Amino acid sequence: MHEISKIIKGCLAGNRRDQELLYRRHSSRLYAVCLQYSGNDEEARDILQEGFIKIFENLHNYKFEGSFEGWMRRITVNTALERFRSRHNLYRVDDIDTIQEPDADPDNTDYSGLEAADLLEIIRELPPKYRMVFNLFAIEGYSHKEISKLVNISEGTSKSNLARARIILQRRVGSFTGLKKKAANG
Amino acid sequence: MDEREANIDLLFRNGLKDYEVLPPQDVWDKINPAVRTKPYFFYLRVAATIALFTAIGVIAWMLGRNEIYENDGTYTVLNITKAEAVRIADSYDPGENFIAASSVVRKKSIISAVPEKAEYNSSLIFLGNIQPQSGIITQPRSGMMTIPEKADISSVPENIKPGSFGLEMPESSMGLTLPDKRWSISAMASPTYYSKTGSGNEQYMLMAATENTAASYAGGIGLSYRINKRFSIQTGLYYSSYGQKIGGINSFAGFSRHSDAKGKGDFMVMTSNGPVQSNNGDAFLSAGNQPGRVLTQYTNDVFDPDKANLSYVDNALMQNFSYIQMPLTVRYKLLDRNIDFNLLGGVSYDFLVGNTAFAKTDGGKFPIGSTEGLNTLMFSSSVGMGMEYNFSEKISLNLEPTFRYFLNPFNNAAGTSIHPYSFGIFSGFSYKF
Repeated sequence: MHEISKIIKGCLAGNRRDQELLYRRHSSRLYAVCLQYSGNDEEARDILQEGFIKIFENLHNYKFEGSFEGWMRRITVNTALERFRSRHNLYRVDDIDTIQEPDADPDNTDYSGLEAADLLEIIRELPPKYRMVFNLFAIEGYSHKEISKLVNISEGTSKSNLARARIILQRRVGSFTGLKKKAANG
Repeated sequence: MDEREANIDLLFRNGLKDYEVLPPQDVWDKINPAVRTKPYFFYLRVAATIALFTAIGVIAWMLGRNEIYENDGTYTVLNITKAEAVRIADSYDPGENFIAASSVVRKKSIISAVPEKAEYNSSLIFLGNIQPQSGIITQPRSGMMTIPEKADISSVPENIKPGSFGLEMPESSMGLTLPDKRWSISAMASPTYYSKTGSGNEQYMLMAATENTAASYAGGIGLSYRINKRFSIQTGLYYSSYGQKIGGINSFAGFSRHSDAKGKGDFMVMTSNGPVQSNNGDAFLSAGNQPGRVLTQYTNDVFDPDKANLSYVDNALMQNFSYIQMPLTVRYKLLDRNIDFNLLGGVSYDFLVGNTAFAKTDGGKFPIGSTEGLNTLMFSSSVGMGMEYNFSEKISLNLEPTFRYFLNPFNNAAGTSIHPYSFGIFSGFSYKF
């Protein structure tokens, strides 16, 4: 914490080296968050860029209480939310059938062999509204009431989006592991 | 909750929580120029300093106001040093004689109504008429008058009316004017924050985005003359040093054995202050990720400093500019209490006496060259405020936050207009004589 305080103070003093150091240390993890919230790499890049600019602009508001990485993550997620709110107002809820599910095995609960890259790929395939609700509920820990305000939907819609997201993810995870096992067994 | 549902949440939460993906290289290149380099706290410090001095000034004024030895409603307070206060009876019956008694109240005077008829056994200096209880001198006299010892009241000038106030001078200074040390010499110094305003072409803006202020300071000797109670004028000689750091310029030593020019300037570094021409034949410079920043025939595809076993020095270029300043400053005393509060403003001639560019080594400097195209004579204006605490009649401690702005452009380069500015809190001592 002592080292990060020094870097933060250097950033606040306008030290370019400290600013770049802060970026280099945390950008990989935050870029993974941006990818998780976006449908394509270009959007993820924009979220990361906007998010980091906001991090530097609001660094004076960080009170050295709680995790600094958690603070940066919240800013990044909020940046992703802002983009989502401005762009994703018109997605239909009932587009569950758009997902292709070759060799689906919904009863397969063996998730071993799944790597983080696989999970990221699966979550990015979700329709944007399901992905956003799942991320906010399951990953960030928001309640449906909080999500309804953040995403501009009703609590009921938040719950149904989450349920549908889970079904899709379970099916995709099942088929993914099935495919992997098949590939491993030749 | 269905256990499978909770499992799927946990799977993604745990699986992704520490996941990292390297972002594309150019993301930082887009973030970098958009991030403010001016330290956020700089403006906060300036505002805090102004607020602090304003608060101190108000407090000093309020304290000065309330320093009254006794107050039965007829006294008012003046801040005059080296005088004993005279307490004269505040009421009298016509025809009665009064003898003045004196009482000392630090350096304040106490005034009271002067009876029409009185016998005085000391010298009194009448300074004007006042409104009782108002604390305001309504018609200050430009000079003073003394009444000889044991003078008859009839020798009091006619225009000295009841309500006038007086000060009793110590016997040793009878007949003398109030202490009036009009000259003072001061020594002041300060670390300074230096930056610049400027406009220019796109290349200038890109360069300015990667440059930061470096260690800067100023100090010198001043000579001041007090014109009257409020105004004084000051000149002197000051030395200022301003630093700037350009990141991303890699420097190496040991190039002289490869160079054909032998110190005639194989490299030119473009900066927002002007081009830096190298005159150290042993220095090799490259700009890494900033194309067009270093102009040279020894580009990366022609010469590799690592392969040539050159010694790496640093990844930043430092510029330093030194000036001898001759200011002309007017000082206005806003508050005249135990702690004086001044406003000051003026102009200055600034002569460029130092212009170096170097790279930092461990405990030293690796000279590179100098910045070209700088104006050797600059004009600047300054504004500030100051506190003056009088330790004694002759010596005082000064604290003066001052902002200086250079009026003419820093550099003669076409397409740019750069005006440096600096802010410092000058502290030091002055000696009155």
